[in-house]
Amino acid sequence: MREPTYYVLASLLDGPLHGYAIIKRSEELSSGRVRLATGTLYTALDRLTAEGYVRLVSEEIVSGRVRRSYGLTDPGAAALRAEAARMAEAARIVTGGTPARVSRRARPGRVTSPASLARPVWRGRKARTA
Amino acid sequence: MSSLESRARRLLRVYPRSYRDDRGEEIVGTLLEASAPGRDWPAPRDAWSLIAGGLRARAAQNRQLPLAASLRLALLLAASLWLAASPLDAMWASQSGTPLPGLVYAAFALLLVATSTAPWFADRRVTIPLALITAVALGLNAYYRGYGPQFGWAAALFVVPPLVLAAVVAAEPVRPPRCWLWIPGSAIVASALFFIQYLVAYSARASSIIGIAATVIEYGIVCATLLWLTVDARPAIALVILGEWLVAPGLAFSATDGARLTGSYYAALVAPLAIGGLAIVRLRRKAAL
Repeated sequence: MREPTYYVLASLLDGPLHGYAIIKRSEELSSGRVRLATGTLYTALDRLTAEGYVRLVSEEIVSGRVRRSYGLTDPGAAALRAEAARMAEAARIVTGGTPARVSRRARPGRVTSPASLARPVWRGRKARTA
Repeated sequence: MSSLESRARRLLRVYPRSYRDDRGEEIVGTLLEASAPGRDWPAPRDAWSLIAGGLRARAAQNRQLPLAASLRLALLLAASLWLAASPLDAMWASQSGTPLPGLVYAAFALLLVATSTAPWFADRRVTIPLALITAVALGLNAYYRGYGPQFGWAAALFVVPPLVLAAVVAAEPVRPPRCWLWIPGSAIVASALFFIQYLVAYSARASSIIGIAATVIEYGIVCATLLWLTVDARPAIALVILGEWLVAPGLAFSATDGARLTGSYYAALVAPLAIGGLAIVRLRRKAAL
């Protein structure tokens, strides 16, 4: 999973959001590191929707324009947790934490700040899973 | 509509129409929200992301057909291109004995243009008979006026492409995409210019200008098709098939004559195969959005 994808999914942990809100939330969660460009966001949403990780939750008209909100699906939440656990495991190699500590860090509510997991190891393009 | 919005909408045109109809308003809305107040132009990273996203969406759309159907359409485009680019030139150059009246060439040219563009416009009940008539006309011309009995088999080279066109149209219910039409269209223009070049051969200057223009168009088609690989691999595959069709006669003649084949012939045979392989790999790759 690439870093922007991770933060798009993480931004939906607290509930459905629309496009701009996802951009803002991803930026907050990553301490400003992930600033999604508009086209990148929709490319990611298309892919994540096709993979069943994200679904369209609602549609409303705001200022004459369609605004759609997207939510995390169960498989999406599971993939996010698995990725967080993988990063925690990778971080443990460096920080030397115990497995118990790692599993606490990997809880969905805690993955919003992976900066605390030392340096996360992001998979490259070829190895990405989502 | 603000200038930012109109520029964002212009950028959205990179996306396929169906995608734009579905998501265009939403994307514009998000871009406007994400842009700093007072901005007239989308931020460069937003602009680039929309262009890249649009190209990806187009590429994904072009990979929707099964591989076999995509290859059939590529074969159809190759046959159409061959008809648009090759035979009139060959007819003129290979004439033996008395030249045919100008009216016959005009009729031939009309037949070739109609057959090469028919898959886009006409029903298969029109396209298939047109292709068969073209096959017969080209075959007879090549046999009696071009190569003679010694190389009579070469007539088959002229018969195969129109027959392929007819066979694909008969087998494939999907029409070739409209956005491909510029390829045979440009080839027809180049072909017409080369033909005019023969007619004005007495004027060296006019002849060379026309010849250069036609050559530029032909190389332009090749370059544009290679660039187009980013969103659609099928035109490149069509060019490869065309390339092999054009190289094959030379190889066959050399083999018949017992002449040694030069390295450039082998290169001409192998290089397109490499490009074709790359194109097929791209075509098979799942849409990686």
